[in-house]
Amino acid sequence: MSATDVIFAVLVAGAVTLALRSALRMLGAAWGLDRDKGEGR
Amino acid sequence: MSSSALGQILVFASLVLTAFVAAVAIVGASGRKAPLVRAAGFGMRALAWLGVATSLVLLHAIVTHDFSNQYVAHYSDTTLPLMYLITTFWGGEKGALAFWVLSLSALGGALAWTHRKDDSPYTGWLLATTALALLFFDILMVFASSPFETFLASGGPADGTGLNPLLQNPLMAVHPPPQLLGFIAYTIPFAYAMAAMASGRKDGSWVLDARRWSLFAWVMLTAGLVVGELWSYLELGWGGYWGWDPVENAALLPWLTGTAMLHTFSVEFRTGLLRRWNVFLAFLTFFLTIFATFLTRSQLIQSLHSFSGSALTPFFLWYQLVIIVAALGLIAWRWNFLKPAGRIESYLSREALVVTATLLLLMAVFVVMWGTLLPKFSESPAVLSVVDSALAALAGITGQTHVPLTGAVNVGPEWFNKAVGPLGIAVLFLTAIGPVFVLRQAPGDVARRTAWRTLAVGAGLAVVLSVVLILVRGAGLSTASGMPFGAACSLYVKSLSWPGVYGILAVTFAMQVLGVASLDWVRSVRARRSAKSESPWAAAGVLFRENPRRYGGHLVHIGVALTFLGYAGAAGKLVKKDAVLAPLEATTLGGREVRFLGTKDRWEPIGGFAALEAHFVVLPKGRPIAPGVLDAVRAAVPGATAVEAGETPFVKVRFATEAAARAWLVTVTARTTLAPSLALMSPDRTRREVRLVPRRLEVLRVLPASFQRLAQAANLVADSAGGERITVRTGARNDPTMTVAALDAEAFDAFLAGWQATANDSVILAARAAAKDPTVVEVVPEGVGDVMTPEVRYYLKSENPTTEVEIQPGLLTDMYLAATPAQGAGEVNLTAMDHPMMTSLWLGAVIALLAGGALIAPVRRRRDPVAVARPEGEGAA
Repeated sequence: MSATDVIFAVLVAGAVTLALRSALRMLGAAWGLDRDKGEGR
Repeated sequence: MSSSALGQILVFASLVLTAFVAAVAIVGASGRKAPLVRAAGFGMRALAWLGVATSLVLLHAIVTHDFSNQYVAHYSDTTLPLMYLITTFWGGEKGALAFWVLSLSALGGALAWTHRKDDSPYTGWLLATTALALLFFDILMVFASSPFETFLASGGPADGTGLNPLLQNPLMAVHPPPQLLGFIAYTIPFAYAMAAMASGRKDGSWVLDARRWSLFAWVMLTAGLVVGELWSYLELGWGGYWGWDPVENAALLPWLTGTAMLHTFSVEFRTGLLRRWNVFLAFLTFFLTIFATFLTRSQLIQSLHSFSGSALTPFFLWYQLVIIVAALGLIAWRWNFLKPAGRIESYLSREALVVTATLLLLMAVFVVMWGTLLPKFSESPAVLSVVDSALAALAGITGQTHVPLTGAVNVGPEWFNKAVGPLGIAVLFLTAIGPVFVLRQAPGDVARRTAWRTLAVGAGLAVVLSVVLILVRGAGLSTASGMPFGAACSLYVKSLSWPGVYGILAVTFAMQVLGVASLDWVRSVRARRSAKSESPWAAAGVLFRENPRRYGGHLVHIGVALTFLGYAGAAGKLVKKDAVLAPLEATTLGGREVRFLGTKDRWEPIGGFAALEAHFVVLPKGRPIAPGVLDAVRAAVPGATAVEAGETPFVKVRFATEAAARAWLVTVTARTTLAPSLALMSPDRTRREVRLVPRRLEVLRVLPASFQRLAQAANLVADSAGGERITVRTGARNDPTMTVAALDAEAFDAFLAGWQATANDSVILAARAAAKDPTVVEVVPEGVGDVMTPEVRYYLKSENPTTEVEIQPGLLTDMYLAATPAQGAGEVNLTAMDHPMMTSLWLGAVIALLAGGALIAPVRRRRDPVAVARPEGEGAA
């Protein structure tokens, strides 16, 4: 695995993690679990 | 897991999530369920990150040369430098789609983030529209055109096919992203319009929300168009407007409606007028971006931009149908709801001028669309007969004779200039006068009197500036060509023909835009300075910060006016000359002499191409040679008895004897024509023989004719030695060497000296024997004029060579040279052009883009007190 591979792997993993985080927040919001999180109204 | 498999999974996940987000947003918005709207917002942000991840996977496959991926194998190879490897991302249809998905999901994510505190149905519909627009491109990527397809039978080729050489240009690396981003960003104003209508927002606040997005889209699209123009100027040669490529015309369509939309938005949020116009323009601009993309991908029209074998046509046709039905249906449903807050009271108010300009821009859209599609449609006999009967009826009305159409109609630059020219001029005129009229202006008020005064002064200034321009250009032409001053001025005026009078009108109105904008600014600066002790520049800066829309708008208009000056000049008669030149022959263009010095080849390992450079020296005809240049030649030729100026650009170098002159000529021509490309091998002093081998064999691989060219150059050197003193033999077939034999030691040494470079005599660019005096050698030294080197590039992996032009930019004209090898020994075909006012074009574009960009930046937001929340019917400012 070259340095380029490692850098891209880290970046892709980071982006996928953030996507998963937003997707989980989406599900949380749909079930009304985010009322106290400071976002939403 | 391979990167392609990961990419496929991410694309599929993106499709599923987009459909889910769209459904959640629609249910949330229609059922007024705030949690679902919030959920859709988070989903949109998840989509943005998925888009980033997908793009990173594709980029990784490209930069690591994963040729098991079909897209990577088809559009890149191992010789591409990093910059062009990145360009590969959007260099093909599938990558361009991935870029579309990345950008739209990123914009959608940003949109969701800006609305994170608003979970109203309005936001729900906004996210739903954006998600549905994204869904279409996800569907394309999953079902029709994925950049992650792999070779089924094998692991892929050892090396890729490479990027089209035409695209291997720094400008091409930066042209598509802003162009595509401009298209993509127009989705957002459309989504706002749809959301406002679907959610029943009455206050028109959506234009405030959409305005910055539409400005962003406008700046991006303008940048994309301008960089594309600049690229076609440098790479393809300027075919003239409307001549380059139908897709350029198609890309202009959303720019025209987008420009109109910026202005109608501004009217609505300050007066509550033009509501229907705004939703219609938001729809039309978005539709035209899809239409232009469809034209690119569908190969409906022949274009440089088409991708062969595209499967996207049916998808795009359905998508366009859906957009038209949905958007027009919604507009029709909300027609009464979109009633404007009042009426336009006066024909001489800014809102009336904006409507007029919008109508003109829409007419231009129709004309450009008609002219772009007619050649294709007229291939059908049915369409041809309809067009023919319409023309016959028109001829009947106007009393002209009708010539029946027999085949497909070809529409050229002349047609476009005739049809669009007047519309452009009229819009330019409105650009000049629009800013001085105030919104909702009652006839006879003070503001209107000021407006008239500004216009009058502006018009006066315009006339003065136009006259000055004509006189300056006339004087320049007169000095260069020697014709009388009056005739030169008249020639310049005629050269502006677009035809004729358009050019003058364009110049005058452009000057009026400059005049009016400058006057407004100067007046405001003066007013500010009378109250506060600020420097003029500080006052101008504060004015811009406090009212960026007004003063930034002026700057954009100034940029547009300068661009128009460029168009008026470039669309007028360019001075163009074609000539076949042998070494040291010359042609003249616009009072300048262009002298061909010779060709040289060069190998570029990065990019994998051989370039054949043609060297020219360009200088004003008859310009005397500077004393410094003569001194440099004296220092370079210590054996000379005298150095004096000859007929420009030649310098005469006199020697004591004919033999000395001849020996030096052999040395200097060997150095300038042979030594850069050929290396010496095994010089044999006793036999007075030497072999010459090409320095870069790669050049011969892509350009076998270059060896013949070098052999011809060697023969010219032999001729300059006189008689049979030097002979040249080329090797047998497939032997890329030549053997040079000299009759006497003196000629042999002179020839070898050509390879012993000294810093001094590199100032000699070319040399020849003087016609009459055998003791004199005529040389072209450095510094007599500007050296220009257009070239032709021959790529290892492409059969088509590319012509790289060389341009010498000037304030009023650009000298433009393109050269290709000709049939004769060492000859080139030269195309030389004088492109007037190009600097003005690029400068104007830069000013408009910078000012537009500054307007997007979040400066202190000034909401006008009037417009938005004003109840209907109380529109007066």
